[in-house]
Amino acid sequence: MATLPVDELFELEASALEATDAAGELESLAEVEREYLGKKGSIRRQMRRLGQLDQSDRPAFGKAVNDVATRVEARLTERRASLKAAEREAALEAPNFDPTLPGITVGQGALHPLTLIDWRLDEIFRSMGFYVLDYPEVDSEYFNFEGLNIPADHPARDMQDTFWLTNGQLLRTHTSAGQVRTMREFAPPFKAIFPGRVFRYESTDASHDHTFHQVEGIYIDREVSVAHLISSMKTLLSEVFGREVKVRLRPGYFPFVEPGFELDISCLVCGGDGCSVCKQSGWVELLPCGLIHPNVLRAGGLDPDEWQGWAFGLGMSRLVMMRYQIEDIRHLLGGDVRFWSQFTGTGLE
Amino acid sequence: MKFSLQWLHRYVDLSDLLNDTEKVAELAERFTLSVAELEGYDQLGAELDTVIVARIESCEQHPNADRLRVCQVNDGSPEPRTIVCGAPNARPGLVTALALPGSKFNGFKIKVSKVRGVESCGMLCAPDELGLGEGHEGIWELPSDLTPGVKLSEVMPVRDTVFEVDNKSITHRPDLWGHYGIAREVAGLLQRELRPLDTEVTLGESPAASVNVTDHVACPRYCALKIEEVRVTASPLWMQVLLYRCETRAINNLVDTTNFVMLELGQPLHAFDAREIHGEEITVRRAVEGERVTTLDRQERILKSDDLLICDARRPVALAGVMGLENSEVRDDSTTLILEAANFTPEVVRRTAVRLGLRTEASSRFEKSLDPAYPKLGALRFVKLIQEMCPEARVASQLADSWPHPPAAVSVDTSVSYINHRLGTELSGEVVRGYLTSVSFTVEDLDGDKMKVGVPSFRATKDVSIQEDLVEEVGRLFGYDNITPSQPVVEIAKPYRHPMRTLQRKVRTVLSGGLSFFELRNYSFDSEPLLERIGRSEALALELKNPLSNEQRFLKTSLIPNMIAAIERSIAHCDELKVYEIGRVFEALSEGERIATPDRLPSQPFMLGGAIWRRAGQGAPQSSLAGQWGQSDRAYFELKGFTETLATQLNTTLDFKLTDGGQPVWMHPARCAQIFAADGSAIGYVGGLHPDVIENTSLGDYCALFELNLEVMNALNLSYGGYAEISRYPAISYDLSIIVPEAVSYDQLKTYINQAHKSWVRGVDCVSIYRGEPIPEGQKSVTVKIEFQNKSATLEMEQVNKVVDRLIKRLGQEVGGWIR
Repeated sequence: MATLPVDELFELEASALEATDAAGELESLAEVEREYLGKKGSIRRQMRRLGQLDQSDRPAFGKAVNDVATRVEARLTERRASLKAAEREAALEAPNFDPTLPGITVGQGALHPLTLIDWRLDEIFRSMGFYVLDYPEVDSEYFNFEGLNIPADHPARDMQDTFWLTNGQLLRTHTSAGQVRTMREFAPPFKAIFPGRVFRYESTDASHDHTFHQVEGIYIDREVSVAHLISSMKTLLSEVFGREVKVRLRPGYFPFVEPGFELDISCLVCGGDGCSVCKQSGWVELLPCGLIHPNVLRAGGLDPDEWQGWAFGLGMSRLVMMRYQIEDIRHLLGGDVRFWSQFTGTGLE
Repeated sequence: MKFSLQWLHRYVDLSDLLNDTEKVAELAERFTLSVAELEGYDQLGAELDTVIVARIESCEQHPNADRLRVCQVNDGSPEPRTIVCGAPNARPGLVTALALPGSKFNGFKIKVSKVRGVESCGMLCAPDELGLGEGHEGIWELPSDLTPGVKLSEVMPVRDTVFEVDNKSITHRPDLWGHYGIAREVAGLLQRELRPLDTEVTLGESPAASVNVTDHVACPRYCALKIEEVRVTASPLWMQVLLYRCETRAINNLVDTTNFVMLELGQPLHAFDAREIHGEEITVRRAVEGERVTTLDRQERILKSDDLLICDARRPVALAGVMGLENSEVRDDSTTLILEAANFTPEVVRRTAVRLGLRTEASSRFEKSLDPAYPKLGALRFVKLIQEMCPEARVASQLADSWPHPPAAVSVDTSVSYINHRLGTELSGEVVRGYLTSVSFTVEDLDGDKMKVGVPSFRATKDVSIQEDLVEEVGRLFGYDNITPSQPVVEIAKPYRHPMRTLQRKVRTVLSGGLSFFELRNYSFDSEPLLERIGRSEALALELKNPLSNEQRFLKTSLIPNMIAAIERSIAHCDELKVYEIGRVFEALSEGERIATPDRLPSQPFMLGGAIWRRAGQGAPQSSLAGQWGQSDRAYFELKGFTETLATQLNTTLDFKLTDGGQPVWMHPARCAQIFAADGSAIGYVGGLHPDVIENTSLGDYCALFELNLEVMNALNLSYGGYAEISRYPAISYDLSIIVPEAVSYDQLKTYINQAHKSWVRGVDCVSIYRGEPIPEGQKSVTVKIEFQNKSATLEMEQVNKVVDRLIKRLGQEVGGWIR
């Protein structure tokens, strides 16, 4: 039997195994596979030599080629697995990746602090059955004054210096201008608040502006007493300030309520023990309130013998300043981006 | 208004409070809780206990100082005391105030010390140094009959507490504008006796001057008295000090006494020099339009026909209720006076005082509706006090008193149960009556519950007239603190959500939340200098009659100008801004309604204004269309995109149409669109900046603005449009490049595409716009992606091709569109 021409085959095997081991990544490994085992690969090409061999030698050579191919294939498979494993290892790493770098954002919006407080009041009062309403800013003398029991030449008009329009109408000086409108709009009994912008003809400083915000509260029912007013204000204000507050009433004069009060709350800073904020008194003046004057009920189309009510007016701008520790009221309407951009909450506290 | 404890002490025994800080604090608190708000109080003079009366016996020139003198002073002890004094009026015989060594006041301490080599054992004082009077040239010139050595506090009310009441809190209480009224409240609070005012005087026999009041509405009561043999001197020390402490300058006994009675009763008085009053009749009449008078402050005043004048036989002598005239004022040598004590109608006095800018102590009291019983009381009180100072003074006449229509006594029917109901208390009838009578109401018990309450005249002018007023009287005296809070029984309310507020909340949530806008709020006035720069809208702006400044006299008709100003203020501090505001703007409904009072309110819709700004387009988002655009275009489309998203989030759509020319002046006339709401109503505009605005502001190119009328939005149905079933049949996406003339807008093209088939066209999007070779000049190639879908069957390509062919044909016929 003639010697089989296997030297070349074995050389090919050796070089294929060497190339397999040398392949450092899956792509070059695939190249090696193509080079040796592909249809036109050098090992497959050895089969073409069968024709040159004796008939008897052919099976043995064929088997030898197949054996080589199998061995190379096995080595390739092994090498492929190890390269894949290494690649997965590498994929689990992220060199130079710093997860603490800033994220890509679409920017940060913000609500105005007056909106934040407006929404909070809205939520509190609506949960307690109040309507939350809105009334005109330019109003007639009637709704701002006469209907509220403040006739022309009444000295109380001095208490609120008014911006008058050339047509005799005015910029409302208080949200109380909505009281008579509410009574005409809703059937009693009802309770409502109406926040909004009000205007006073006065010079400005850090704690006064000619335009600011108030919220008016009104409650109409068949039997309303001072005891109810005290109790309601205590509940409402505790909710507004997010903690238990004490309230105290003092006589106060407002023509649209009788009796009228100034309401003080226990100082939020010292809790009533006395500090510099409350001038050692333990009390801070917060809002005017009172039982609605029968003339105002009449102006609203209600019979004072049948219906009674209480009302209060709360300085919303002041509430905003207290809540956010804003030092100058003029930031509220005259601010710039350094002011607006700070109130990034959703408004739901 | 200020009031003094020593002064009150003249009418109520407060001797236990005068030197007791704690009791004063307690009174102040009770006063605040039951009567009126105190701004605060000052306890004065406690440190002046070592200040005594002294008489200068001799004065010599200081050996080492030109301006100082060495005085030997009688301090009540046998040995003279040496004091070095620099006052020009230090002279032998002068009785003055001496602060003994050890005295501490005004922040410094008096010690025995050498002054330029001469030992000085105390200090001679001026009244202002002691806080007891106005400053003068030099040391205090006290009456010469005072005994050296006695404490100053023994000859005048040195130690005192001065309260300041918030004037606003007594606007409705004319009775509290004088000490006697305050004393009445204090007596009620402390359950002490109120002494009656001493008005026992002897009037003369001769007939009173006649008083002719021509307008009894303006002057319900006018009293006059003639007082003779008056000598003008200094007032007694106690009066000077009390006046000074209540911020009234002591002048002489006549002026001081009119002021004293005003601060005592609240009743202003006026004294004329009888030499200057002509004739025997005083007339009260309205002024003649344009009449000129000169008031005591030497100002000429031009009057109107509703001002009220007091006149003698020849001429006006006082501007009623406001100020006397220069021509008849009392002088140092006056000996005979005509005293006026009157009641004027608040509105008349107020109108004159406000118009002339002359708010006096008198006018501010008359404005409060004073008790018409007081003029007589005040006049008699004046006489009583003057006679204490000048015993020789006498009333020459009877009291002239014009009071044709004294008001009927006021009484209010109420009941104990009513008062208890309104307060939420269970007070007994006896307690209720006790409170009312403690402040001078009379109570007639009718049946144990019902009662008739008599209102004292000084509370009846305006303050107390209805039951509710009595509820307040009882409540405040009982103490609101003593009321037990109780919850009202509340019916379940019908729910109601205010549609505009609900809409605003949604808009804010979308813009501040998802779309990352800052919400800002601006003032309601337009700034004239800003409008000069950016242009003025044609809207009929409402104008203020009394603007704070002429530059801010119009109400804003748009949110945009102030927003531009806010952006200008901000851009130094950021590289990009997205802002919006929700607020009312104001517009007269006609030119006439800008001027004359209409019976309806002007239009004041809530608007939504928004703006985007970037520094040179920094960080602008990418778009496949962006290659076509300059900075201004990109700003426009970025902002338009936000308004489109906003509309989607509000469950509605906005239509952007080429402007009709009605865009705001600050908007670019071409780079803008008019916006229509889903119901077809015009709702606003969006656009880039007008070139003039770019030139006159610091905003630059990358800025766009929009303004939408929220009232229009609010009229829409904004409920969720409805879920659509997911189709089982595939959609076909079809890219089409159509060449159209430049004048054909994308919106027009889109309308044609949407109309190409009534149900298959599901969506249209613009992919690119191309201009240039080989597209002819004046035309553009618009590539769109159209999505077709049949909800009920699989759509075949052939069917779509037919639709597209029809579309192209129609475009060709109607707008000159074609495909290559």
